[in-house]
Amino acid sequence: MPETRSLSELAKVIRSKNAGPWEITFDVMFPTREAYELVRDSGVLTRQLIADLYSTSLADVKTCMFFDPALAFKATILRTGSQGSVGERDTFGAQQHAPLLSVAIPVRPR
Amino acid sequence: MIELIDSIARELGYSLTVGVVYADIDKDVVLERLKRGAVQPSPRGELPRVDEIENSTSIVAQMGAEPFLEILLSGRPVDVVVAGRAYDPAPHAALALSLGADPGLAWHMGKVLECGGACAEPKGGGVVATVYRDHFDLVPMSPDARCTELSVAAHTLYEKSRPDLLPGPGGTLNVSRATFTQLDDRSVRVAGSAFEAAPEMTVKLEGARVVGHRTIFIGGVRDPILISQLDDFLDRVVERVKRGQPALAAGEARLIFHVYGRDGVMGDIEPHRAPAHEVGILGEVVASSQALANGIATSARVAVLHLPYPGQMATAGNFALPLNPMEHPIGPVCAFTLYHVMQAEGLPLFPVSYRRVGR
Repeated sequence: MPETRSLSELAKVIRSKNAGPWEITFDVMFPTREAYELVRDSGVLTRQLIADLYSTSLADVKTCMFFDPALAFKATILRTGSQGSVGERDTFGAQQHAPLLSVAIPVRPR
Repeated sequence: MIELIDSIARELGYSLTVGVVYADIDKDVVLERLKRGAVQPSPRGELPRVDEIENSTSIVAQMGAEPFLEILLSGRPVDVVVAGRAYDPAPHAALALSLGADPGLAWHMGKVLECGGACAEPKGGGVVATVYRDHFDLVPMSPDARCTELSVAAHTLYEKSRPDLLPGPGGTLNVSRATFTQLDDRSVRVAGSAFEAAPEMTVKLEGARVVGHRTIFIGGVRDPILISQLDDFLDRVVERVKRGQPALAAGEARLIFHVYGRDGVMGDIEPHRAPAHEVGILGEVVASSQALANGIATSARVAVLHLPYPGQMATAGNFALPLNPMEHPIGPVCAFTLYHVMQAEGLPLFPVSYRRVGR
């Protein structure tokens, strides 16, 4: 079994927020290039992982990409329901990030 | 808003010139453009519905920098600008553009400053941006705050669908070649952003309508026997309430439970549905009138409090209610009818006018 670290141990920012009323976007940002590249190159943060974590279809994961200039990962999924309306659970989409915190990233033993 | 500024100016003895820009757009214009295919589908692939547009309380378009630029370059001594719906980065971007800044830097600076000190650590307070020919520098006004490469990059991505291409009115800010450089403990330099003008003039429309009136109640359950069968229990509560509330039975009203301490935040997609030792229940009722919503909420609250369940030991009541009164009418419920991009060629959008207010 390879050793793993949780994403929350490797990242500095893990958050979610609305991107307009149709989408929720997830930002993961890293404190160092080393941590960023470790996660990027692990191949764990994929469109399929986001679809699985948020019980959605691959087609509804609109963005899933690493962004070198900001040492960041961003994923965006379609929101269900009517934002800010009947049955809303998170008007700003600000607390949907939690399942990302414990994603396990394999690390090479030193 | 202008009346408010007028009364404050009078109170303080000021005389002010106010530039005024409205963002409202006529329903008939939207309906006509929808009919001829000039409205783009939402990210869900849906076009707005005609009846929902007709029932919208109001419709606005997001303005870009142009109306602000018009005011800033008008030569008038404008003291205050009152604008309707604007793209968040537009006011700051317009100021930089009016002074001849590079559009990529102006829009990137506007994007970062849209929430003030949100681009600093700890967030809050204000931030000063200084725009130069080929970069801009950021420093927070609070001596206890710092801008870092990460905090500024983080705000660049904030509330946008993609990290690299940030579409807005008039074009797209491309930050795929942007650089973020720490200058000292508290300042960051940003360079390399580019603005790509859109091939055609479009605006993003936003509209909403009232879909009902809402009444809520909130309380807690501490009994483990009830918590262990909560979904079945709440299903039976809904069935019981439907018997006395035909609007609920007919689907014209809604009764929704949010169970905090279990899946109140994520609902059906919550991966860990094991409940805590106590759970909070928010009952949400939406109906066509406030009075009807109140009535259904009362029936539902009483049912949660007193409906029996298998294995019940606590026969005096199921629900710990902190508030009196127990049901709370909280007014109209709105829903988006429009959040769509529309071709805007030939439309007289965002008219600018000027007013003198105060003494």
